[in-house]
Amino acid sequence: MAHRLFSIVGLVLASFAPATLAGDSPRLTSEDLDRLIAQEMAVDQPADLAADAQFLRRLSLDLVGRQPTPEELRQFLDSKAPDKRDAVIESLLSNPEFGTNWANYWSDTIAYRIPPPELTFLEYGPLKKWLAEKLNSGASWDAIVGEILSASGKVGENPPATFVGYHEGHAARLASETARIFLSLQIGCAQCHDHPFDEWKREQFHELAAYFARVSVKMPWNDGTLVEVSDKGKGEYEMPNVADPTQKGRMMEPVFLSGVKTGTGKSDAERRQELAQLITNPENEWFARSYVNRVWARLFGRGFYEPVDDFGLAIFPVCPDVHIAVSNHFIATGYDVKDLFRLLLKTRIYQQKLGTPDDDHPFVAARTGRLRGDEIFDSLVTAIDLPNVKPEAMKPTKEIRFPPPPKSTRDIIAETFTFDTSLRREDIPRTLSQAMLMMNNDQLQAQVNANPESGTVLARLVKSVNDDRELTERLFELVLARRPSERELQIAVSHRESVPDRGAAYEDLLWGLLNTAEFTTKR
Amino acid sequence: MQHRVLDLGVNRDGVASRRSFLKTVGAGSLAAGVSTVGWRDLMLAQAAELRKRGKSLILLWMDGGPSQYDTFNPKPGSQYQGPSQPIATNVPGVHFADFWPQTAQIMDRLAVIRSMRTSEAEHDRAIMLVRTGYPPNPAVRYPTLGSVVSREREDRGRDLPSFVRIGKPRIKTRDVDAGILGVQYSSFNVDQAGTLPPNVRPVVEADILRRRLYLAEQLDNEFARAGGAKDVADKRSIYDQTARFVLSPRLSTFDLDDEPDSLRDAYGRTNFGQGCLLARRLVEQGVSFVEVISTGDRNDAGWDTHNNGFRDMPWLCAEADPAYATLILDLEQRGMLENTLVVWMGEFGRTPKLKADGGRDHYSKGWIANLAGGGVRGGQVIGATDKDGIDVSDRPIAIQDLFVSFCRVLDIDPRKEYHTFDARPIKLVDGGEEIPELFG
Repeated sequence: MAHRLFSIVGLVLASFAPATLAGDSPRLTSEDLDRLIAQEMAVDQPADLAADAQFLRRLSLDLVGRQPTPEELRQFLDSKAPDKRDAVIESLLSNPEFGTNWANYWSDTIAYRIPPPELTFLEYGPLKKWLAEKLNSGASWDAIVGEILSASGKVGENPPATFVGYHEGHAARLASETARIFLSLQIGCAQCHDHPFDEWKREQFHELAAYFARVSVKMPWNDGTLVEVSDKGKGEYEMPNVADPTQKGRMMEPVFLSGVKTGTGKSDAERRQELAQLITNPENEWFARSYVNRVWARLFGRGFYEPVDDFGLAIFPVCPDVHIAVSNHFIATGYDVKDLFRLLLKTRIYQQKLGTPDDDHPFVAARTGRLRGDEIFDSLVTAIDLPNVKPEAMKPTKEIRFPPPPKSTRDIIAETFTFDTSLRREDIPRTLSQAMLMMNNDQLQAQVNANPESGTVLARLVKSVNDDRELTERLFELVLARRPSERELQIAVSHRESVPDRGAAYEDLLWGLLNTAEFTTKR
Repeated sequence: MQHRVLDLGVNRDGVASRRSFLKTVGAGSLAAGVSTVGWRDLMLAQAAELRKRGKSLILLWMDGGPSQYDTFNPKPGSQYQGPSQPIATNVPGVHFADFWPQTAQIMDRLAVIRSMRTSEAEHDRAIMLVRTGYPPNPAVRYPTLGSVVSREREDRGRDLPSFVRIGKPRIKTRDVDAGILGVQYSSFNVDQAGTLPPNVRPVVEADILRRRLYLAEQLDNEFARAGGAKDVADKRSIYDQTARFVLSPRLSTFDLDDEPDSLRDAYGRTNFGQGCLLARRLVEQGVSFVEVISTGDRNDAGWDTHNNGFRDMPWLCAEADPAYATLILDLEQRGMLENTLVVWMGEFGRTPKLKADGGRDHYSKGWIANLAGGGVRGGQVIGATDKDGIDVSDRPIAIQDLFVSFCRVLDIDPRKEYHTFDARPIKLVDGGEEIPELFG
């Protein structure tokens, strides 16, 4: 049996000697990990830790997808407990918003490259809810991905069927996206020709596609939750004839990238279950590495491999032996999602100060990260109690047969700020519509109102806090989850003095804070 | 003196709004005692300036696929000719369907291609092909032409966007966007002509917004010093651009109220009609690419007339005809037609076979694309279909041929390559040849 995939792994392993650890267990502690990174970058001194407020905002954004509330911030700053950072990591990991936040991340990752179907409005709500519950209940990553790849039925009733259903059962697209999202392998290029840089052969791509050969998907008009995945009941996959597309293609049997053959004649459920097992099998090291690389990239601002969905031979990784060590730990824990977060978040390198590290020393300082759309919405809710207004849905009529589903405030903000989570950090654009939304959106601006009648958070504060210095501090805590520096206090005070009306001055300050780069950035 | 006035009005970012333009001229003339600078002189200067910027393209998009029989390729005497009758145009020997009386009078400005031939006859796939120039590919989201042009003409110092779309696709799921080029090259969308979309107009006075922007900029400094310099620089760049736009005096370009009622009536008081008028105003201000989508104001079937062709074709055409003809004449009268390519098309045509109610299904053999302006020679028909319109009988034109020709007008090299994030090189247009008749 040709184990092409694993021979590549072997090659990588041989060229980068695995770091030595105390004992034989692949399990790591956060201290082990710090030591490995220090060795790798030849750094003798541990980096300076970020201040408490900065750490708490970074951690809250990474775990629960919003900045801490002023109460959470004060509680944390006031605590004298020596292990308070560990304690808050535990507490946020058991907060249900943790599951919601990472469900949104994975839903965005999957959704971004699903083209809109002809006449169905895709609805990712059920998938997000299901994923959130799974992540919160401590489901392992292999169990979650196994369901996503093998589920059947209606999306609304069995949400993990979303991935296969919303790709309309398109075998080639599913092969390409499965490999890209869950294994970080870009075999999609091999659909038409052997991959130019990697070792993928055209046949291998189509053998993978053959696992989806019997998927049948019903796409009803309008309502995406009614999309239904079922078994076609017969048929095998054909690789198109490139030389003459009008000719019959070549029948391909399902063969995994490792060379394991599944054989023809199997039912849809058998094929996809077998594929799920082959993908999540610890022997298939790409699976753990892909997950570890993505989560690492989101937490640390740079993946070992970038972009995160490409382990191709043309990509030169940073700290590859750390990547392997963390992946082996992840495998040893049975793909325990929360354990991996714990391992990474408790390291010094996660908690260190912000800087601008280069690729020779990629983890000697923390990096900034862009907030996803739903994180920005949740941060606005935390800061200014932004209401989530949802207009009534229109029923289809004879004239307007396909009324687009109405967009809530959350939908609008999430859509405006969304980006492809597989992009490199520096490739994520800032856009005109994002800036216009923050500057001028009427729902948002309605909260930037100090008029006592308005009932806003700002109006309450302006009324109840008479001291200008204190009011400035309270606004900084609300919006940026930190206290202002002396310089910033001066800026606020001199602005206050330049505007005759007190309320108007603080409307400006709140607007200004919401429109800083910092508010939409993790630091 | 005259020169000074021109300098005030015309600069590298385009030209000032018509209103402030007139004000400038008025004040300048008064102060200097010069009254000889006419509107026309200024328009000529502006046209010269726009020529330097490059030509613009207005795409009139007939969403759903219009029938060639009931538009610009009627087949008199054929059993397949449907609800309409042929009428003569102002070019001898060329006939249109009688639903297009005004357009028939500007045939001498049009190049009518009657032999478009493509391979896709489902809406979503055909829209992808016709708007990107590439066949649908599950692995690559090709960008729509407007996004390509927007990227080629990128100029962050400008106040107005370079790619504007007016009107909405009739069905939201059938659309193309900037794809792999990235959202920064997406169109700026005006759903309703004459109404700015949400979030453009500041909710506070301009001077309050300016002082807020200044305050935010000061507040950014702390983060910039603490390791966020790159984030702050990126943010400033996009905020500068956005502030230029939302505070621009030229935002009034999007407002149609200062146009004479007679002209607004001539375009037609439909979203498409007013959209064509807005397109002219935008091009006048140096916008490179404008799409105006025609769907009909009554339902979401648009030009997709599977049923009720006898009922729906007359009013669909009655919305499009005056808007189209008035746009061409308006551009011409302002000396803008030679710098503006106006394209009329949809994703395909309709079947020869028609139902009893005049409905027709999708058909991708022998559909229509009209070009005018931008140096295209008018008054000519390119290609033909057979007497019943079943297939192309002369000079089949592929979508890539059309795209290469667009590139020539826009002075963009069609063979230029851009790169996807995974470093795959993609040509602006793959294959196709220029259609020489257009420029002969």
